[in-house]
Amino acid sequence: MIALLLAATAFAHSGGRDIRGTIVSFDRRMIVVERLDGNRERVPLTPSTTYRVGKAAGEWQSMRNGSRVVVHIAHDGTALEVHLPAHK
Amino acid sequence: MGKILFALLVLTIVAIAAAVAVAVRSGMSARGAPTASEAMIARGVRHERHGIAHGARRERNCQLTPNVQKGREHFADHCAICHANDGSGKTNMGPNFYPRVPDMRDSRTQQLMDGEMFYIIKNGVRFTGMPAWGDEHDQEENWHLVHFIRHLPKIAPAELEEMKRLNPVSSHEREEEQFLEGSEKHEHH
Repeated sequence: MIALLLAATAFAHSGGRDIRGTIVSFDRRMIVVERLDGNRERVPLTPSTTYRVGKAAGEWQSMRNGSRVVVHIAHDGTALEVHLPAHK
Repeated sequence: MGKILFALLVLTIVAIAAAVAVAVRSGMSARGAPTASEAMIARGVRHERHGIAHGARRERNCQLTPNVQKGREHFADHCAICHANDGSGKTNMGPNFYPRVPDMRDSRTQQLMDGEMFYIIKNGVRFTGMPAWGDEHDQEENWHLVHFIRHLPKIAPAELEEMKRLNPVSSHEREEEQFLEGSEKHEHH
C-alpha cells in the first residue's frame, strides 16, 4: 500500500509543462495561445480543466482574447489549469 | 458462537471482494467524485463515535474571547492552499482531492461542535488529504482556527483581500504572476 501511495505521489508530481503567451482564440473545448516565441499552440480544454483569475477561481468564460495566459498542460496534452491575470 | 464468527468472516470477505471489484473497475484514480455510498459511509464513520475520540466532542473552546484575526492569519498561511481563503475549497488542489475538499461554510462543517473541529485539526482525517496538525500547532492556535472557521460564512471582502497578502507564494508562482502582470519570462518545461 505504501509503495502504491508513493507511486501515486510521484506520478502526481511528475509535472507536464507550462506555456506562457497570449490568448488568440478560445471556446469551451480549445484554447489557442501565441507563445512568447511567436508560435501558436492549440490546447484542448476538458471538464477537469480549472481556471484561475489571479488567485481567485474562474471559469472558461473568464478568458479574453488578447489576454496574457499561463496554461499548465498534462501529459496527455490537455489543459490542467488556465491561469489568467487578476481583474484590475 | 462459531456460526456468528463464520458469518462475520463471510461478510468481511464479501466486503473486501466488493472493494477490490470497485477498485479494479474504477482504478485508483482520484478524478471522479466519491460515490454517494462512499460519502455516506465516510460521513457515518466520522460522525459516529468511531471517528472522533470519546470526550473530544465535549471540549470547549479555551479561547473564550474569539480572536478571529489570529485564526485568519494562520488560516491564510497554512490552510488556504487547500481550503481557499473563503473556506470554499475552490483552490488549485481542492477539487482534485479524493474526497473533495469540503466547503467549510456549509452546514456539514458549521454544525460540528467546537471539540469536533479541534479534534479534526489536531488529528486529521484518515483517507482524506487532511493532515494531523497536532505536533505542528499549539493548542491555542488550533482553537483560534476553530473561531475563524465559525466566522467563514460571514467573512468580509476586506478580510479576503488581507488574506491574499498572507498566502504563501512559491518562486514559480511569483514568476507566473509577474508574467501575467506584464513582465516577460520564458516558458518552463
